[in-house]
Amino acid sequence: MKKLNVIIIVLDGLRNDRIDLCPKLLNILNKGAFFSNMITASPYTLAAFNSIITGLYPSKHGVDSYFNMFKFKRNVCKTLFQYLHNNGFYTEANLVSDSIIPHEGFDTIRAHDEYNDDLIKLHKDIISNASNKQFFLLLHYGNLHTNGIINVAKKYNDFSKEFFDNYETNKKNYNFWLKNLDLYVKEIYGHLESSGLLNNTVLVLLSDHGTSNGEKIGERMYGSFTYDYTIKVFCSFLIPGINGKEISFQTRTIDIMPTILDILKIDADESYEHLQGKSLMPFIEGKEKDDRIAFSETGGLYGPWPSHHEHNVFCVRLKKWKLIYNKTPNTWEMYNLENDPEEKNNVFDKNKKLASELQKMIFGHIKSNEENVIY
Amino acid sequence: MEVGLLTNSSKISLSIPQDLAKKLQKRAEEKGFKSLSDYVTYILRQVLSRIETAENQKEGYSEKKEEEVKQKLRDLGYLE
Repeated sequence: MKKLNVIIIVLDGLRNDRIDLCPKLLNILNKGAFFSNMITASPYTLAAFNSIITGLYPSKHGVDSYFNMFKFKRNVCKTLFQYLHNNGFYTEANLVSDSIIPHEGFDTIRAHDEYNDDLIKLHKDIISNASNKQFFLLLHYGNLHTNGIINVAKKYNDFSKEFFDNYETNKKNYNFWLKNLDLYVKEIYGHLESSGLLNNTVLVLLSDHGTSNGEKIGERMYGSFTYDYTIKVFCSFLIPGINGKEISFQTRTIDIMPTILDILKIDADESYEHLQGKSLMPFIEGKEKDDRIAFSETGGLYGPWPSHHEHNVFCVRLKKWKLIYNKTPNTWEMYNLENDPEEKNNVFDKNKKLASELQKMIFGHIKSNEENVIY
Repeated sequence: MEVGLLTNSSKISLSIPQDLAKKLQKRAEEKGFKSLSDYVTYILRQVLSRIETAENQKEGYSEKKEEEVKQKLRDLGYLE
């Protein structure tokens, strides 16, 4: 097998339902195994990134709240970068902040200046400089986050009437920011194509979480709730020799890391926490044809029930149904996602039998992440 | 202190009693581990992690650490 490089590009904060407003991105996603219904383990960058690079839910890897951002469980979790570094890859990350993920396994990890740097030029240079060796790069496109901080987070709070009364304006502003994102993806892809690197590089494009446009009072950006506008994401794997196709079964961001190990034929290290995600290759090979059960969890910095040191909002999502557990006020919400994709009509009290089954799943998820079941 | 023989550049071997090894081997198989070494290392990682977590909790979450986290969250634009 020829030596493959890996590039992961994370498009921070890109909503699943706006991909079609990014024609160049959509075109590129369709060149790969495009998982168009993926659920993030957590709808904010700190926890989401660590789940992507470990294949674990937040309580397993330790970054399970904003204030636990430095509590990654180094002794028991092995990151994708450690795996690839141990296998001879040159590893580099360029991020909005170098505090987002642990530094183990990196040859180089740097933060860019999100307000001033030209990310297209910077990331093209990083790719060119790495290309004389087998490499693994993590490139973070954070301009949606930056625009959100400047135009939303710094102007409004999670209950600002002016923001939540103007959904259409918020949506228009967010959609406008997508133009730069689309250009960025086109330029980086073009650079890979013209340099011949696509022939021996696995390119992984994904979003880590979505962003509110003012759908629900109490969340002006993300991280307070687990509604679909922040937990629905996507991921496409452009693998040399494998034709593109859209795969619409529900999958999870914790499945990304095991998939990359599978593509590279690297065995999971059993002396670390066992992966909770599973390779997506069976979908690509047409052997798996069912939606995976997904969990997502968060704890807001602000919002109606902020929780700085532990997650207190959990959900389980099936293709058609979602159950949300708001642990702090101890409330439940259940939605039929087919009939009610905007999650406005809580049917928790109307289908007790299903609600009970989904409750068991959520409690099982919480328990399995608190305890070490295979100790 | 006995540290065992170097077997390759990243691992060393340690000695444990045979009867203990047999019990651990049985558990490793029950839990689906491919090797005894992986299972024992897995347990040691978990134990070390818990010890360090307990020590950190004993020390308390210092104001300095809390302020460091808050500053990072402010830098990211999350905290006002």
